[in-house]
Amino acid sequence: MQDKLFGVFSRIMGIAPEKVTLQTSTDNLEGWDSLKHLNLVMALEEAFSVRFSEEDIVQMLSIGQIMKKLAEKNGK
Amino acid sequence: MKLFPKTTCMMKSPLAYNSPAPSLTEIESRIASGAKDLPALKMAILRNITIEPIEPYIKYHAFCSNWKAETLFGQYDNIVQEALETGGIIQPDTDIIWIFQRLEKCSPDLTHHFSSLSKNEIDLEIDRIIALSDTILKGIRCKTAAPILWQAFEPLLFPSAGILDSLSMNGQNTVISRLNTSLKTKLQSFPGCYYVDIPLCLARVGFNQFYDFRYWYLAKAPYTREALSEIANENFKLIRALKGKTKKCLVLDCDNTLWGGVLGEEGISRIKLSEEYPGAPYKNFQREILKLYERGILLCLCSKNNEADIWEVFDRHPDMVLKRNHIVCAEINWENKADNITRLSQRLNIGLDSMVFIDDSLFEIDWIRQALPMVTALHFPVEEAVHASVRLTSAGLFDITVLSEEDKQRSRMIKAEFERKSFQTHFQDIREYLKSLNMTLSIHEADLSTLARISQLTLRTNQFNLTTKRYQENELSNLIEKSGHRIFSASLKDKFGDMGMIGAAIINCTPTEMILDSFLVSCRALGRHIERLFLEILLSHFKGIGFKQAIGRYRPTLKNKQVELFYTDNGFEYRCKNGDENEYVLSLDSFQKKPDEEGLMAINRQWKGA
Repeated sequence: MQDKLFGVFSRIMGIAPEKVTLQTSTDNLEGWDSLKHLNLVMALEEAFSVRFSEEDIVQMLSIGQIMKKLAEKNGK
Repeated sequence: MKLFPKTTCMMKSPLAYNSPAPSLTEIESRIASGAKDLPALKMAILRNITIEPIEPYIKYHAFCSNWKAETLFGQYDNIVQEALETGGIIQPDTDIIWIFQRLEKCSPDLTHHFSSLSKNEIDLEIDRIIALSDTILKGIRCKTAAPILWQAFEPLLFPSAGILDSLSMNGQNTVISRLNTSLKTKLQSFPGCYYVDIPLCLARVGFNQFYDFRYWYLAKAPYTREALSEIANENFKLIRALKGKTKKCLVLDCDNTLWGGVLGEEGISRIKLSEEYPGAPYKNFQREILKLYERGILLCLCSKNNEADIWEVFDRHPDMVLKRNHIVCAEINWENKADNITRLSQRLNIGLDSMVFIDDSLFEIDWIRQALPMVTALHFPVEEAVHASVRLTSAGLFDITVLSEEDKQRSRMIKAEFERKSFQTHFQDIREYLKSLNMTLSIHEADLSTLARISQLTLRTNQFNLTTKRYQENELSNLIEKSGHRIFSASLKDKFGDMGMIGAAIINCTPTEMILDSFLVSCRALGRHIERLFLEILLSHFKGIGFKQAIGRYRPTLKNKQVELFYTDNGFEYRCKNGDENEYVLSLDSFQKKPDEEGLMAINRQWKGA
């Protein structure tokens, strides 16, 4: 799951997959703006066949958070 | 079987109407795999919503039509500013401008306060929105003539007034529909401005799949991926039509495509084709194809069958909607279909990229996709026959923005040309052949009703065109009214049909001289000595009304070498070089009709001078 997430994330943000870490967040990645965030959510929903609530969407502001949300969805 | 390995070619066909939006990863990998140097298509997108998520779908559809899309998004909710202010995203080299103007953002009154508005206030609000559109369109037109695609307003699928809204003559949806009609009228008053029917997109996709309210409230992005895909698809139907990528020819398989079953096995009486199931979907598919024929799409057959058997079905089967005369060309044989389709394209003299091929066999479709990737090959499997009609229309491959009279006649004219050619092979002697055509050449002095067509001839004729001067309609009327020119056109009919106007001459009349400013004949009428007769009729006429001398001019271009000797062949003498033109002269006193060595006398003539 992590590889797939890093793949989608790096594609949407336009950065190399090696640059993505669990600590990457809106605070330390400059290009991760609200528009990229929207594209990211759409791409993740498609890639993982999940649907985030709007509350999830506003909380998914770091890779760690996203991993957590995805794990929750897959666990259900 | 190793002969035709499963193709790895990209499927370049448009989305089927009931297929899901392509996934973002799929789009990414396709575009990456075809990373060749496609021409750029520069899009400027003006909007009052967040519409950036449409970008991958725009890129996808552009790629499928062999463009590389470059998208620029205007500042959020800055449509008027982008249209009017200098700078901004609309550049001189912008190819297409898209406008997304959501009603909720541009008219809170009509969306949120509708019930408190009087009829008069509603009318004023519609006027205000249309006036705003006018300002935007005028602003853009000051910057560029590029096509503008204006996305229509969406109806409310759940209006606040509920069923009362539908019952009322002034309900919210009725008003939105009126607003859209006014918008369409406004768009039509500007050149190159088009109404994109978003309500249709919404209906196709459905409310639940069209809107995503999470994105709307979080980021002012109203649409789902399904919606964005459909909106991009609809816009690209227009873009393809505007950029001349409309397909011209539909090549059809027969068995299990035009009818159910295999003719060779089941026989004419057992194939499935009727008003009732199971023949009904095939009959309806044929009706849809016939509508394409009526719009000027060339229909061809490409079938592995005995030719006589197929024509028997076309001629005799009572439920055939398509008849033999609708088919412009057919390759019915047991050879491979790639060769057959190539031959069809050569016979019709059209590019493979303007052809669409439909077959029920994935084997044939894969083979064509592999052997002739330029052809759009669509797989219509037999188990999905009930979807065939809608798949054909929903693909929008043959969509056009205007329908001309010539479009309606095209198939008939091309077929007549084929008949002429095959008829010609029966004759050894060209004179006999020309006589047998029973031609009538009519010469008309131009009037206002024919100037548009004459102008078109001057713009399009390159080969048999002595001076290749291009004239707009108003320039031609100026020549007649202000500077003593007379303009004549030639029309031709023969036993196969009316070819319409095929030639024109523009003559500058001085007191004693007729100067042939332009003399041209459309290439589809060449090879019949019409050009000589046309000239001869003009010379006789001017001699008859007292002119003494005819002056001919030839200006060489890359394409009109064949007429270099036209005037000297017809009795003129070379006189001098005048700029880049050669000038020839003929004394009309000594002008005589040539002996009828080439069957000119066989041509009936009509003179309809003013």
